[in-house]
Amino acid sequence: MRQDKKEVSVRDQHTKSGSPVIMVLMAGAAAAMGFISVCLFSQTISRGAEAAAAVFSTARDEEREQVYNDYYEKYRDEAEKKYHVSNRAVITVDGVNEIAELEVLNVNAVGYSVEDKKDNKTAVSWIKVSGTGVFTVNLKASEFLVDNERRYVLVRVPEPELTRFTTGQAETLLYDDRALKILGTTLLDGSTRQGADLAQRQAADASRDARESIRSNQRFYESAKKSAQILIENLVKELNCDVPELVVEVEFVNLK
Amino acid sequence: MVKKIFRMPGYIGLAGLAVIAAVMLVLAGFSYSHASELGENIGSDAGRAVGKALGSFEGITKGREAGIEDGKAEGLKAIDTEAEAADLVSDVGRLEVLAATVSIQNLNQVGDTYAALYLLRGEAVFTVDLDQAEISRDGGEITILLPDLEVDTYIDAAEIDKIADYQRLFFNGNAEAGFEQYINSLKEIKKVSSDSIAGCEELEKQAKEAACRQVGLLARQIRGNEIQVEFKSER
Repeated sequence: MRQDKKEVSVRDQHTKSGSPVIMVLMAGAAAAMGFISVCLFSQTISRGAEAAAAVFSTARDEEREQVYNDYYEKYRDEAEKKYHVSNRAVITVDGVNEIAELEVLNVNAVGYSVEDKKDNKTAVSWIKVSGTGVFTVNLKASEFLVDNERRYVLVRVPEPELTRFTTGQAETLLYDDRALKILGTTLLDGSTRQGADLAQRQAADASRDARESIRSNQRFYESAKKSAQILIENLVKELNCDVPELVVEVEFVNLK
Repeated sequence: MVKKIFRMPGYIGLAGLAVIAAVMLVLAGFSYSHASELGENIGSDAGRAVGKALGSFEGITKGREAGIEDGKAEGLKAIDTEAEAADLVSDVGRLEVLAATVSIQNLNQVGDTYAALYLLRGEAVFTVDLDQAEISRDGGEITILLPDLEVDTYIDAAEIDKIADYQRLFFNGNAEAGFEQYINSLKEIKKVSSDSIAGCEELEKQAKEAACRQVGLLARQIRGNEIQVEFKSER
């Protein structure tokens, strides 16, 4: 019995002296790990926040642009469909003529048409139309008198005439329908028909203006004559390049 | 025994604390090593969400307006323009050799609000550039080699008639759109008509024959010799 008590007592002593050390060690380890964990967590938060900030702007801008573009394309396609203009032309050849018209002068001219809303009830509109006129000489109605002995060729041709005219580029210089714009909606802006009719009328007026400016300018006729002379002389000499010192004279006759 | 039992919770508690601290350390280590990645993911998601919201707002406001304007301009360009030759004909220094009078019936449409049928009159003129012709001599015979024919279409805007039109009663577009599309259509119709006529083989064949005849006649009037006229491309 006494030995048992002694053994228990020795065991108790051993236990008493070892257990505080282990407990201290365990407490120390737990505290150290806890401290390191706290440091690591705070570092994690700051690193994470930095990375997030860096990526945030890029992601925001990319997504913003993508979504904006998606909306833009959607509304653009809808508007294109709503205002889609198509033209289906069928060309019929009414007649064909064989001719021999020598083009001697091309002239570019510009005509204008100006209209006010008071007159047309649609818009204030200014347009400019360019046109090209072509002066030609009818070689079918020409006469070639050749004197081989004297090396002389007399060419009698009709005077040049403005035989062709085509409308070129049409350009809108000013268009103001004075429509009312309220909260994104436009009022009193007319109809498609009104606009098309106005454009047709003005394009025709401007084209006539351009054509008249060529027809009424005597300078063009003089230039056309000079050009015809040179061209016909060269043509005759080219065909007779084996004839030295050939004299070519061009005479204009008025067939009217 | 009682004391043992009394001391046991202390051990267990500390051991538990140590285990928890170890687990926290492992988690902290893991989080630290993936901090950048986690932050990027969060930032990216947040950025996308904000970007989507901003983009939606800007898209509905500015984007809508800009899209409508550009789409309208694109539509009014009248690029969608075609022409075809309906029937075939059974014969400055350029010489015009063949003139074909043409009528062009054009159906012009703007969305589904307006349609009009126009009749345009013009001429298609085939020419040969005499400046580029080559003349060769072989004894008494002269051969003239002509360059390829050119064709020009002459359409005067003053010669356009509107035959018929249709317009929707309500929501019938606006005058500015009608105006702009007409101006653009004029240009496009002329261009496609020229291309279509230039591609008409029968007309081109007639024009070539006319060119050989007319140039030959002219040359014979000037020269009097036997004149042969050919096209360079057919030699």
